Amino acid sequence: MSGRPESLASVVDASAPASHVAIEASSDKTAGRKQSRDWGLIISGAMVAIVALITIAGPWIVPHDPNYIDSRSRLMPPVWMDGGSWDHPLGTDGVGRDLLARIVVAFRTSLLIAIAGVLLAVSIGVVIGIVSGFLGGIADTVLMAITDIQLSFPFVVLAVSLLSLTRPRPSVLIVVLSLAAWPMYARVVRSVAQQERGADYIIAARAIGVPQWRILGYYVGRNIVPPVFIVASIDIATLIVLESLLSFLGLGVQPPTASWGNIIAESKNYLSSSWWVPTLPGVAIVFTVLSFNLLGDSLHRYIDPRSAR
Amino acid sequence: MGAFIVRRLIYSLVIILGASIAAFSLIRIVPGDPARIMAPNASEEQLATIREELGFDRPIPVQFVDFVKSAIKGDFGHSAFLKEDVGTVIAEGLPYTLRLALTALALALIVGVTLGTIAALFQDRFLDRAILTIAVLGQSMPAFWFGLVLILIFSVRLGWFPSFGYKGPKYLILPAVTLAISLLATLIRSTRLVMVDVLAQEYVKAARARGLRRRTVVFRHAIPNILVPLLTVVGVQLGYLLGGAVVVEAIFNVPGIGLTILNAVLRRDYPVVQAVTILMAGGFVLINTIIDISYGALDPRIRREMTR
Amino acid sequence: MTETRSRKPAQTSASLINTSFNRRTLLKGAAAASGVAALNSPIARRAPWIKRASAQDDGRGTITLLSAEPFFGSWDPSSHTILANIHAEWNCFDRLMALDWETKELKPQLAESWTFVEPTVLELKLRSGVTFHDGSPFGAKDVKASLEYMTSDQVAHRAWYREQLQVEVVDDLTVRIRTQSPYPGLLYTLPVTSIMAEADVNNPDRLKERYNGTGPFKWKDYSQETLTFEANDEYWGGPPQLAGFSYQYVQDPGTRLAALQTGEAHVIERVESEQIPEIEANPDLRVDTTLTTENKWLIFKAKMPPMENKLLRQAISFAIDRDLIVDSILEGHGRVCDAHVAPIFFGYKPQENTPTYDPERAKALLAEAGYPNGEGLDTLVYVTSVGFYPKTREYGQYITQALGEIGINIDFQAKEPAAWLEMLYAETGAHLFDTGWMPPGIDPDLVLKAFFYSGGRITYYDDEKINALLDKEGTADPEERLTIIGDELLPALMEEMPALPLFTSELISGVSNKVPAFKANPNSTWDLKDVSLQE
Repeated sequence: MSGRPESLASVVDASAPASHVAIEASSDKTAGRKQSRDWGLIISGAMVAIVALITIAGPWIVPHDPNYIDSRSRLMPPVWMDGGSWDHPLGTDGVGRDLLARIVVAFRTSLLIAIAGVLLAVSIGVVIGIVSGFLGGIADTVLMAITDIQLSFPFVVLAVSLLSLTRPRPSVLIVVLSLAAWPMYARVVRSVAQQERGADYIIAARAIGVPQWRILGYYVGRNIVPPVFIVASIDIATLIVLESLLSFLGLGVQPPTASWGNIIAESKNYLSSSWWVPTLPGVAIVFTVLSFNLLGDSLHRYIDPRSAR
Repeated sequence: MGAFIVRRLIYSLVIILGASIAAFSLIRIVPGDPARIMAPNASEEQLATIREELGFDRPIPVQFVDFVKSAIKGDFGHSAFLKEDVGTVIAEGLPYTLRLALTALALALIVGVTLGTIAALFQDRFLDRAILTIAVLGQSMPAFWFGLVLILIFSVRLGWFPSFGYKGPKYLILPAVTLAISLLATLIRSTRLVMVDVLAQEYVKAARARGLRRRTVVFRHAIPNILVPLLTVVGVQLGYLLGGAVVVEAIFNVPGIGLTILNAVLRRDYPVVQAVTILMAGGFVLINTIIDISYGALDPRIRREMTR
Repeated sequence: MTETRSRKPAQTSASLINTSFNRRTLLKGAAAASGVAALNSPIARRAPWIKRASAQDDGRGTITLLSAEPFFGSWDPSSHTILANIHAEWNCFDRLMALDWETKELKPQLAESWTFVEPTVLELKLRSGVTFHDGSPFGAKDVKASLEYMTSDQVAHRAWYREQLQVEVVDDLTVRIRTQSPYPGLLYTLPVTSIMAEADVNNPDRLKERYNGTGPFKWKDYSQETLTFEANDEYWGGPPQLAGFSYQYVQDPGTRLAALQTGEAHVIERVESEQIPEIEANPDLRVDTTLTTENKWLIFKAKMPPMENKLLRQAISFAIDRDLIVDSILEGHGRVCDAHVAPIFFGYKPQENTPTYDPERAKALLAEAGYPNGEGLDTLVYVTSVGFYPKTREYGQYITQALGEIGINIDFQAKEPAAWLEMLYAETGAHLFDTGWMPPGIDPDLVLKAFFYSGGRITYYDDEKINALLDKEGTADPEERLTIIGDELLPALMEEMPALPLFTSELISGVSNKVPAFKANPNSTWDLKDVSLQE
């Protein structure tokens, strides 16, 4: 009924033994290229390490209480601008809170919510995708119908409803964000599973008595990791930005807790007068997401079973 | 093929019905009373009168059956806030959103495929990383922030484009750019992925071996081959596109259905929320069906599966 | 509900009400319009449609105002208390009298004179020769129909009145309003009530369809969240200076400001204080500020224990530095309250027992209330809205911090307006509640009765002493009433503190210098009759 063997997975895996051919084809450059890849791995690894360090140590290394309101020192500019001071290296926000402290502690809120949201979305998507793609038939139809309903459902309606029903606690936010993201994974995983179901080596593995769970876990599992990883590394940014959209509607991380999203949303009217407040959290988002994406790219070679061959 | 289309049609109806049930019940159980929003300081009795007049005092299943009955006849109800039939509201808003979404999609496709192809050609080198950074930048900027930056620069400071509303094609450019930016990352990334594989295919290598120039190979052989898989990515992205249209239309005050549904959700305008959800679900299903059929037409393996 | 007719944007200035159309014409029209625009859209010309719009209107021009609040699409003036609708009605309907906001004196409008012939009977002489926009003549029957309808129990407008009015038609241009007991507040409440045609009142469906008043502007169209009006050249006070105006809902403050800066709008409502420097930096624009009839309140929900504890309420009032909120967070745009009514109100008098920021005293009061350093006091829920009132989230976080400093733990919840509104009128759910209250007039009962009388809505506060004082002032003769309010009622409220008035809001509008005469009124309405567009 829903004959849809395509989607990003088939996009990703369209031509099986591609990547290593590409490397072979330019064998004269391979050595230099490999080295640069290792450099890429080191740099992106270092970036992720910085992000992790700030996330873990954030609350202890900030010079100010991120939530302390000192209205007498509102909207101070960052240190490199006229009137800035080292007391508030990135300046202060509309009620005089230290912007650096808020951005740093927001690593925890924003990143953890986004990562948890992505992980939850991946788990839902992988389970539904595998079941759907591997079993086929009526289960497939029903599960894909649910996926399509979710995909076609306007996110504003979902978010406003669910977040107004309960309080926008982090746990609820994670669920709402993952609801927006999981269908993509379900589709990607399903098409990989569908392709694998008929693959010769799977049939062979079955024939020699490899148990079903091992086939799923090993043979299918290793093929879904690369596409899922790529989607997930972009989705972290998508979810961070979605959280800021929710903050814009007053439904995101609740004040006074700082998140990148709510700092931007609360200060968006300062864009022309005190641009740094709504802009600097964006720098943190870009740095974080870029580090994940670069690491993902560099790791791709190691994760992808084909290019590792 | 005929059987496929029938099955596909039934499937689409299930999706639309599922989405409308979800929208119908969600918007009604959420706190916030449309009667209260219409008359903030009215008494309970006055509110009860308003609810009765609007028909919102009846049990939700009864309201739903009623709604489906009239929806089949093409009557999607009446918006007490907009003072118009919901069908009219949508007919007025849809052209704006379609124009916006299509322009943004075209922009994103052109830029995304170009940058993705360049990234693939320069795989793992500086240019590849630079393009990845652009993609991530686009993905990391909240649309309401980026839209305001564009307005500040291009409408307020330079005066090149109008800042809000819709009265002609000039109004389309800033919102379309804002919307396109958020699609760009996925498009660049998937183009790059597919392109890397396609470039390594035997026929591409053969073409190169025949002495064709690299540019010719990319344009003649590689790009046509990635468009079909990209179409699928676009199909999935459509949901995000409509979601993004909500924010962009709000920032630029484009009177499309995105702004309509945002306002409707915020003031609990039930009939409009229901109808726009159905429209969005319907549009999503329709476009994906078209993609499936065209995909099948292009790939015989899938055509066989469809007619099975 | 079953009405299926609709409207489209009008091209001619003929009578456009109830033009029906079908979907196809609309789509065709839109397509044609964009096609034409594509053919001749010189890139460099800025905002060409504004010139086009004003050129067609006999040189008088039309202006665009942007609303911060959505409209409620029932045009029956009785059915809502939404400010956006009130602003639009203000220029389409006349009222019996108008208030001079400077002198606080009543000016004749549809009534030329009025006297209390008995303490409970007000007689009004009406203006002659006035017609409604639909051509029907105005007379006593219309006043009777309007007042009785607008003050009847089933309509929302009733909230402004103590009782339903009984109106007697004496002759075609004379009416008498009878009240159950003396009602000195009546004179200052009548200027908020629009006068409609009797035929419309008798047919509420017609009333909901469009405005039909006697005012300087006539209804033209409503579509896509935009109301448009055209000049009523037969207006009894002379033709307006504008050919018309449009009033459009634009939700985002940044978008509204951009529209003002590019010349696409002439007036924008609810400018945020941080946007002011940008407007001031532009020589073509100006900022119009008005101290309003609106106080922003920290409501203590009386039915939520422990808020019935007067000492706790006082402790909270002394713990909050309201000067800091106004001077710093609002950047000076507002006025710290020193009474439970805003300064413009009839009977206002600054109160000496107004709490000032004093954390030590707050701590002492908290201990006296039975919660030394907050011990034994559960976390209090404080609900506010985001997206409508300025800076609620910012000063809400400050209040949370300030109360934390004396030992009161706050669970601060910032909600989107619809969810907030539902809680506003609920008895429970929150201990502290942030809201504003902007009555269209300046009679103190519009605030005090509404909030504090016998389990008033929002506060649910019910106190015998306050009830007795409100009864006493509500029926006293006008001179004596002033004294009762200023010297008895307001001090008692400050002592009992059923709600803490934080500050009186300042309304900030961004205005183009092309409309030099524009000025917002303290009730946030504007009179456009004498405003002109100067290119």
